[in-house]
Amino acid sequence: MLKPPALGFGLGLRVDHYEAILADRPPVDWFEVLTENYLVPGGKPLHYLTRIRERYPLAMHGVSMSIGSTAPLDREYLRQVKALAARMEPAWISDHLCWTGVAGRNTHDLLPLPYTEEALAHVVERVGAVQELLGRRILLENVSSYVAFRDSRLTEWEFLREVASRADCLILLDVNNIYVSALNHEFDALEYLQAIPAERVQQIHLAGHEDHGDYLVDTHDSPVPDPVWELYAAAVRRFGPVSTMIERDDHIPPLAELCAELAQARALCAAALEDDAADGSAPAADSAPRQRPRRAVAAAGS
Amino acid sequence: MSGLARVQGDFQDYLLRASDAVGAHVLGTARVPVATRLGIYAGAYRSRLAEALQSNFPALAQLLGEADFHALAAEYVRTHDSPYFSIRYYGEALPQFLAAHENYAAAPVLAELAGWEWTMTGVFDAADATPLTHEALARVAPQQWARLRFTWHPSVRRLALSWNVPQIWQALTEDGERPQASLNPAPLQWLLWRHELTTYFRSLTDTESAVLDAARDGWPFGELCELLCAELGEAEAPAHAAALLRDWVGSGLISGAA
Repeated sequence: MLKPPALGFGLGLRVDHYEAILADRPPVDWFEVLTENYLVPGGKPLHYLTRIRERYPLAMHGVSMSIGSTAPLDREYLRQVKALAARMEPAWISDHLCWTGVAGRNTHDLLPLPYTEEALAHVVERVGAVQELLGRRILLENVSSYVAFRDSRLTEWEFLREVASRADCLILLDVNNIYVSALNHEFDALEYLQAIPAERVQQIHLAGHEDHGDYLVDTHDSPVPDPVWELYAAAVRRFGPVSTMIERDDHIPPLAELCAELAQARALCAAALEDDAADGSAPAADSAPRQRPRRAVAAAGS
Repeated sequence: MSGLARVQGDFQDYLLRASDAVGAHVLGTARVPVATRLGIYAGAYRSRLAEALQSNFPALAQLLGEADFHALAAEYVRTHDSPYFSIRYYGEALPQFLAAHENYAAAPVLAELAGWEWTMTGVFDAADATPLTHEALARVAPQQWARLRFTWHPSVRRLALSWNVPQIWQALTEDGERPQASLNPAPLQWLLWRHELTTYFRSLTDTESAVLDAARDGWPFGELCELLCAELGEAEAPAHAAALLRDWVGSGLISGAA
């Protein structure tokens, strides 16, 4: 099955920017919306979403699917997601490779899974059920994590790759989350990228994090830091021009500031692709990712 | 129970109840021990839910001040798990919690303010409906009027308040001079609704409140007029009924008549 076409460079849709988006038509190719914020009966959220959808492509990004939970799938939630999708016609629907609660509780967090055969089989079965219910392939995003499980027998990237391949779903790669988890769990972020099949990667997230010295916490509340830009360039070389968006969840700056950051992503992506073209190597599933030379950061920032 | 179910149950019990069985499942490193790693999740759980309360009850948070609101949120989070798929609904039980909790029951204005804010949140994202226009109402044939029943805009809410909560709320949200909490001589009825994208509220007289309740219960216009007759007498009732209806339609409270 073909992937949906790439959308270019997008931003997360935030309430603070509704008016500016409608008034200024900023140079953003598409918006990603947090699904749950629009699973309400009516009023402002749906009013603005409808108007913005008239002008921009959208992708729906959820946090409540709890695809890895051992609790039953929340079919009422999925029914509402499907109804919103019928109304907004998003280019795709994504959620996270995680679990959020069991026993009728929601922790409202994106909790990590043990990377076991049992968890893999469980997630694969549920992705199948969700895709059948929604009538479309979904994207699953890698989450930042802080603990590893004693039971894990696979690496995170092996687990993600196997879920995508066995369940025939797509991948939303959060480059910041890879960076955060790589530092927290002492693995090589480039090895992670190398293991992910390019044909499954539909979208990339960029974001910032908080440095606590011995570990990083994924906060999505600050500009994309240099090491994440570097990893993004490696991802572009590996996966080609994948739809990319900047995901700022807190400390939301003015829209123009995020547009400037997005322009940096565009420039960096173009530079990374040019580097590859100059080398005569197209991005391909087997090409090894390399560290992006420092000069590309300077080019992107200028 | 499967291995995965046990891991998830123990992990969740750690977040919700601080139980330590999760320790058997997780690994740390020399650089970052297990306790630190788990602590990131525990802290994030509490602060995320507290932030949800803060965003749904901004006036209450301002009235209590940072430290007291933090204590309230911590106690609510400790005693209330979320069964909701959306964090939007997490604060649903806060008004009742404040009314019943020994630390807060002595200041009942807090529970009423929380109830007010929660009601406003419900008005804000209630379902949409096209309001009935004066022109549409004018097209109703005279012989149909007595049997006419009204459909109300889905955002319409009525709330009885013993305290001057709307004034306090307004002062807190507009940074105005905060009035002292004062008890009404008798509970006052308030009407809240959304017209287009704006939320409105106003107080109701006892008479309008009674007629409005009856109308929302589906009484036909003829019976609403009889109710007004009983309250105001035959001389005043017809003009009053017409004025009420004009106001309801003009305010966007009614979305249909049949």
